[in-house]
Amino acid sequence: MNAALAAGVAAAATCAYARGERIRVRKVDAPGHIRTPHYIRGKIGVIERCVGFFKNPEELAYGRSGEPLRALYRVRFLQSDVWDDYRGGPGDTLDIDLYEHWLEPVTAP
Amino acid sequence: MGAREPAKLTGLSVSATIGTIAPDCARISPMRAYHDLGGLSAGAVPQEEHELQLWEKRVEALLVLLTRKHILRVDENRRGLESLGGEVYHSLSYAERRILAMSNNLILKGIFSVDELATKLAQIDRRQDPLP
Repeated sequence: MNAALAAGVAAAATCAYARGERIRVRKVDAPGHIRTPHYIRGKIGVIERCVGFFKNPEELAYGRSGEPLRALYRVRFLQSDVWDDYRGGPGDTLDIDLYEHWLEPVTAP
Repeated sequence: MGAREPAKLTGLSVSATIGTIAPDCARISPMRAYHDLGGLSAGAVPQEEHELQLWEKRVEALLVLLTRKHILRVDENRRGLESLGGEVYHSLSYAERRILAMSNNLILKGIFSVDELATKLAQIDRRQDPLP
């Protein structure tokens, strides 16, 4: 690991959200290379785990360094929260890996 | 779908006649990228196996090589795919759109020029066997 990457790790090595915390995916429509699926934006989910720290693909896609590293989470959603017409079981869930800058805290239930 | 030949690269555009899945574009909001299809209706999923042809395997091998040699990142390749425009993107096969995105990126990075690529493509066109 080179020095810049090590510095990036140090700068980003805290997960802002804890397991079990409810979050909302930012409802942002922007151009550019985005790894957050359109269908999940604006939806509420629960942090399943903080996966680790990775270079930001939104920056890597344009030839830049991707640093500082960004925290990546596995976020769990109820399928019935994601799809209006979901006909599967009421407890069915969907896990998606999402970067921290796409998440915002849910204040009221 | 039967055996298919790779679409011919002519300069930077690909002429392809075989369509792939075209989403219901009317339901896509202006800011929803054309490749971001999750949740959209796409019709029946073709169930038959598609045996990869040699040139399609070579496209994937090329991408692996470019990535390992730190010439091109997968994120840059994805951005390239997302910059082809919806009409081109949805008219090309998986391997066709990948080689087109790769070509655009390598020109952008100065790995080869438009003229060099065009010259090479013309040479390949004159070969008896295009995939020796």
